[in-house]
Amino acid sequence: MNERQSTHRTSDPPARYNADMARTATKGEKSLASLTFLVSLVALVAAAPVSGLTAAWLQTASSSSAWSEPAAPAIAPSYPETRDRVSGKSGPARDRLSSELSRDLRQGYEQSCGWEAVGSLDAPGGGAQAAIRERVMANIARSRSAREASNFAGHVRRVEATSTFQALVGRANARLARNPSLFADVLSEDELIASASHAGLARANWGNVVERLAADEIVSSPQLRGLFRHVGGAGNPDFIGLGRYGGLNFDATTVRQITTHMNRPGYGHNLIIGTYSRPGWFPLR
Amino acid sequence: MMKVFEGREFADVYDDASGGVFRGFRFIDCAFVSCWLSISDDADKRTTFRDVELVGASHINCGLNSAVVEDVIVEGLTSKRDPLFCRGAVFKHVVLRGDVDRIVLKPHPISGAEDQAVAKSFSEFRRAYYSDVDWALDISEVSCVELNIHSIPGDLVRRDPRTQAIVRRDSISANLLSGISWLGPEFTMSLELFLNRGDEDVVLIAPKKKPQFSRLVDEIERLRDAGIADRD
Repeated sequence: MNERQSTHRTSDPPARYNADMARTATKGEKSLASLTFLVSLVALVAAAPVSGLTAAWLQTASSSSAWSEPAAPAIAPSYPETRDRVSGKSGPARDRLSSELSRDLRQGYEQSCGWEAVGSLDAPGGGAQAAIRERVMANIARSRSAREASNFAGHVRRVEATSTFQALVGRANARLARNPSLFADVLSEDELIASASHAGLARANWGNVVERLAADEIVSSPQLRGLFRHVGGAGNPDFIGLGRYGGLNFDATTVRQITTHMNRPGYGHNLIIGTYSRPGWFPLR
Repeated sequence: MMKVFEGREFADVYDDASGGVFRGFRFIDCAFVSCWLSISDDADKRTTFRDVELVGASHINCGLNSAVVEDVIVEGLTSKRDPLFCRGAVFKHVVLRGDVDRIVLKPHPISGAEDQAVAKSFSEFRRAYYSDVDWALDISEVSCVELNIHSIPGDLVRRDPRTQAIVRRDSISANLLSGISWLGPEFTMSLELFLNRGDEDVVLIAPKKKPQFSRLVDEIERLRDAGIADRD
């Protein structure tokens, strides 16, 4: 039976043709399935939110300064999950942080991702690329990691600004303590008269001189000019930040006055303080 | 032909004493925020500002360092924070008039108080410059809160004799000053600083916008009577 069938298969050309075609079709289906799987995998990797973090950093790096915070994604999330969450489905209230954390973990946000996948986002492409980019940007908006990275960049910026400003105030104060004749040189005659008339005003004017000496150093330095602007006056910080320090406020004061400055309405809550101390011999009696 | 700016705000304008000449500008009702011109500790490195008019200007923490300022009219200037500090600038045919809040003219940049070489170079430049100037400043029509003029020869300042007077070095000493009991803190401070600077003379000014204006005018008259201030 087997021999006959085999003989029949090889000896009958139409039957052999049909059998070959059937094998080819099966093979083709397998290839198509493999290709579909690969395409799905590539799309999944490209659109995976884990790449959001690196995309955020790339966006940061491509912006004007390495210290600037990553810009908010330009495209608002538009996928169903977000719409459902925004629409406010009924149900017990969930802790937002734990909810987002579990979602992030569920979606693999914390997994590492190759830079190659992110790099491909910037390659020129058509509608598919744009759609992938949209998904990635939307995922960045939801990504806890990306938000934390953004906070981290802001934190680093603030730490650096604090350090720079404290150094500036320290140098100004040391300059004045080293050479008290600057007091007469930096203040106007009316300010000197006020200092001579009242010890409290003299102490306040020590601070004014420190502020003006710091401003003098800023004016003299093209680098510092791009970071600070001397403002001062009632209801204003002594300096405001420019460039990568934009949005930050700065006051120079003594340690004892920190609380007073931090409680000032308008700008005190987000103030960066540079402290100085007057020498023990000041003011002269 | 003057280039006119009206109602504009200029912020963070810094000029590093390029040695250039800026001329032919008229600023009407303009605001200047954190602008510093001719920023230099080098007495020979200066930017010149010529044929400039400032009318109704206001400023926040602006100033000049080593500038050469010539043929300039300032008519009204509001200082919203610190006074307008001019540290080491020299002046020729500069008119201050109208309501001017507070202007302080110092002989050198701040670094001059720390470095004698800087102070000396500015002093030498100033002496050479003013030797060829017929008049430097006209303050006869200014109405101010505070105007300190340090190290500009008094004879080169056009004044209102009733409210402004010159005191020369040979007519005052520290001993004499300490013996004048009726002199208020304003002119006492001006004369003490003048004696410390070592200038040849100083212009005492009774600021018209100051609450103590009448007393200061009286004191000028008494200084004249005592032979300390020049009798115009």
